[in-house]
Amino acid sequence: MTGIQAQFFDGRSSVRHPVELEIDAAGVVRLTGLGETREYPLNETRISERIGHTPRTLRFPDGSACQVLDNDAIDAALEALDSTSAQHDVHRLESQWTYAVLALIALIAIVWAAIQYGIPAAARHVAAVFPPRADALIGAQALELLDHGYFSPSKLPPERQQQLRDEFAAMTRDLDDTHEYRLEFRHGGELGANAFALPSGIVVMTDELVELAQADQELQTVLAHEIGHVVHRHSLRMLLQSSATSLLMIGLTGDVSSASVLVAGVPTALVQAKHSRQFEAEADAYAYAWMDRNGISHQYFRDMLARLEKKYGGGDAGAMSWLSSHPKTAERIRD
Amino acid sequence: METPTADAIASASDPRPQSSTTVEQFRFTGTGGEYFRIWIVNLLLSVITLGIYSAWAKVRRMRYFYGNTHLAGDVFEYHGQPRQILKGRLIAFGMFMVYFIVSALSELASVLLALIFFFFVPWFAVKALTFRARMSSYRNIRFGFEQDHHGAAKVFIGFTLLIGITLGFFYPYFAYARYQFAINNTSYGKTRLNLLAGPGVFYWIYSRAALLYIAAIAVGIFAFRAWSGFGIDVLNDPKKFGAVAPMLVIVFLPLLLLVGAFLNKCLQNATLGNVTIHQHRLLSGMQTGQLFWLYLSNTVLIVLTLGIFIPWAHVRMAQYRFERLALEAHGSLDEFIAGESSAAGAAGEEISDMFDVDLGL
Repeated sequence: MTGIQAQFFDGRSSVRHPVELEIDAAGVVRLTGLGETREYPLNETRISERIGHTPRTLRFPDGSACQVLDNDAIDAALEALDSTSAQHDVHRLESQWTYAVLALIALIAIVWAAIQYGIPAAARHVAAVFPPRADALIGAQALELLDHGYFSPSKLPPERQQQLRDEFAAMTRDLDDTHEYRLEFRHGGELGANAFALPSGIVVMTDELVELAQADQELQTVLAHEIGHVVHRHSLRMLLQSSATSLLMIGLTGDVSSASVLVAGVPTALVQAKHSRQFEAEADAYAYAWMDRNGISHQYFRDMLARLEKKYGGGDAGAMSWLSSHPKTAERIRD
Repeated sequence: METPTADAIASASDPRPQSSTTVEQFRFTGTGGEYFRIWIVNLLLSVITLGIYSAWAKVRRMRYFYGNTHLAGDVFEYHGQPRQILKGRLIAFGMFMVYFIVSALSELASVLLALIFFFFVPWFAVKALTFRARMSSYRNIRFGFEQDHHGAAKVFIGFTLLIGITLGFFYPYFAYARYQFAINNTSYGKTRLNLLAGPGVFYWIYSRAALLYIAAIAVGIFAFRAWSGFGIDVLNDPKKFGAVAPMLVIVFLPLLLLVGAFLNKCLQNATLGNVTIHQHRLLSGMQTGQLFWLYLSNTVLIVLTLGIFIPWAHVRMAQYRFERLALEAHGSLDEFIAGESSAAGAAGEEISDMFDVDLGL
């Protein structure tokens, strides 16, 4: 049996010694070419795992080491001794294109399932750990910021405001979560006819929306939708989901300078839009259930959505618009 | 740039008669196809194990890149152990979660945490650089890192604060000091590395990069206006922004990559290309055009393939970096002696990675 070509380094100096390496049947690693022949027991020799075609290192107990380029020869010698080990399983996966393609497909499927089901389900469970009162901390400054940047005080007559507040109070009276529900009015300005819920339970409605409605029931259905966001704690869950999504994307793409921002950023934004549509559907379902309980026709909600769509043209009314992150109106008014 | 020639240094530090000078070219022999298969298996196993395997994945990735880096007939070797990396990652992840939760709940507490973190950066930096050095070897001689906490505090706290006080004008000196700290505390065996470049080089680099950046922005605004008919103030208009965002990316991405390529090429040549070790010297000859093309083509291909090109991009970067790197050897490379071995934990490196602390190297 001829030896395997190897480079020997004693671990004390950077001198390279070309040697021939043999592993005999008794489990002894024998090095020739150093003047005297050196022998090390195989079971005290640490052999590095096979990775691509990179050289393998045999590390001996005295701190010296051999580097071997011929991976197949060293594996053949080890296999002849039946000291095959599980450590080659990963290399086997890595060495075949078939496995690589299968791994890619499996990865895509897992990531898709995680985004579609896994992350939302996990976020719902984690959200349940926090008391609903904690939701208020998330958007504590949101209304202040909006007041500063977009809104002006409502011009609705106080009687009208009070009337709607009474209706809102009736809608939230029976909710026994610890959110503090309150209805606020603002003049929307460039945000137009709009309504949204803050995590704490404050629901904001713009004058423009109130004026756009042709019946109070229409406004109630919109309020029910917004209450649905609060009840289902969408702000907290969105925060958890988008954090998890970002972590997943960063983990997947690693760090490839500027490209990673594009590669991780664009899908993250798409996933967030998807999650946000899931939340809208959930809030719609809450609104429909409320309508059923109170004997209010679904038609009011559909009419309101249709009117918003007509006025703002199907979600193209700006990034903060009522419709932009919502499912297509046609989809929502189908049932 | 007035740096002494390598010959002058070698003869000054080594009184013996000079033996032959050879230029040993670094070579990177990894291939995109091979690394893709390692990368995709790493990713799949990491995802399935909820990130646990990522420590094993890191070791395989590092071993692949080190094991494919050739110098004078031998390769580098990575010695990091998955378990210690996993431990480091768990610590880093725990810290990240604490910071994440605290910053979601209270701004004041998150500022306080960030401040505490800032004062620990020197410690993380020394730990991270030590781990990286100790886990690297060439010809079975490990690299090492001097535990220079005092120097680290000077650079990462003192000089960082000076950047703010001087409104950024101190930044090039800081960059110099950071490289100098990282390089001059590193040793191969018992032999220290030494950075020849001084702070002046960094002022020269950053002032040219700043001018190039301003020029790139000006050209970008002009080109964008000519193409889309909008001024740059369209950024403030969310309604139109959506329509012109692709144009913005197409105009500005190449320009910014060009500035990045110029800066990185200069920094790489000025730092790695100015390192001496004993009587030997590293030479780095990156070129802006080549690096820019690499950045641009990698970015475009990664986006078009939805990320599948990432492993090829990594391999192409490594190929180029080492193709432009050489060791000017004066005499034999056989004379390095191993230093004392010491333990090194992975937490510092993982924390620095998690919080994006820029260590310079």
